[in-house]
Amino acid sequence: MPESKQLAVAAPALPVPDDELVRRVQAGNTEAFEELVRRYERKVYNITYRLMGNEQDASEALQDAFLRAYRFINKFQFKSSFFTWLYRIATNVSLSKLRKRDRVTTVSLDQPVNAAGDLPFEIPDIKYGPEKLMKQRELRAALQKAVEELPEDYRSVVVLRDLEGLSNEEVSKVLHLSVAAVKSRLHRGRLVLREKLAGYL
Amino acid sequence: MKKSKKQTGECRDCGEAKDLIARYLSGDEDEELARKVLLHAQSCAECASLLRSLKRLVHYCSLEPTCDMPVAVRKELWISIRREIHTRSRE
Repeated sequence: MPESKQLAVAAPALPVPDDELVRRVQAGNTEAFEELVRRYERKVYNITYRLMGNEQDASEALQDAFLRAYRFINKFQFKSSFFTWLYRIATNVSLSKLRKRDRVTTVSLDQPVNAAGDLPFEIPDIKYGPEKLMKQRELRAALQKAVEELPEDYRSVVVLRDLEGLSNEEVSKVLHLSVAAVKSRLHRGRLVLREKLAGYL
Repeated sequence: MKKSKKQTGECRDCGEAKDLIARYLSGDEDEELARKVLLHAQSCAECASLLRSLKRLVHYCSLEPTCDMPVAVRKELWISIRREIHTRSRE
């Protein structure tokens, strides 16, 4: 292979920044929107799943969030980062659906999240033996259930901060709260989780 | 009612210490804060237990894996996105 070709292979193009993709979408480029979806679909699904607690509702919230983002992307003014804006939409859509769901029906919190009763995203860790793995599975299921039972204000903060790993500042932007309010809700949420998970901590 | 300092810890009751623990675990980077929290925890079993369990909780949360999006969920997402793009392109 000629040297120039080898160099071309060795230096992959840098990813297009989110803001540039948004500008392209605003100018009518639909492929740019598809690229944004590919970038964030898993992250947004994590948020909707953690907030909704089951695959079906999380899937609906995921679709609604991206459709809403597409419909309103012309209103995005680059005052925040795109992912902050997108996460805010996903959180608001999920919480709104939760309120409707809770008004319409009472969902048993003991109900397993899938037919096998497992969390669908369980990833076995080969470092652990069967007993530890069992405890890890129990803990994950208990954690998800405890998060689902948190009051809405605490749940969104705990999901974004502790489970999704956003910083206090990022959570404050997503939820339109002060950093102090984020910290306060985070601590209160953690205290509730601590009580519910006393047997594991 | 403001209480006076106690003999062994940083504060008379645990209220102040619990506030400090909350700040400490919420990400406030402050050596003096960390020192106060750890000093109090050495002399107060209740706060030591609170600190230990909250630290474990935060740790367990950080270990939670990113969930794999089920294939069917992804497929439905892309169907609805392409439908929306198609609809809006015809408007």
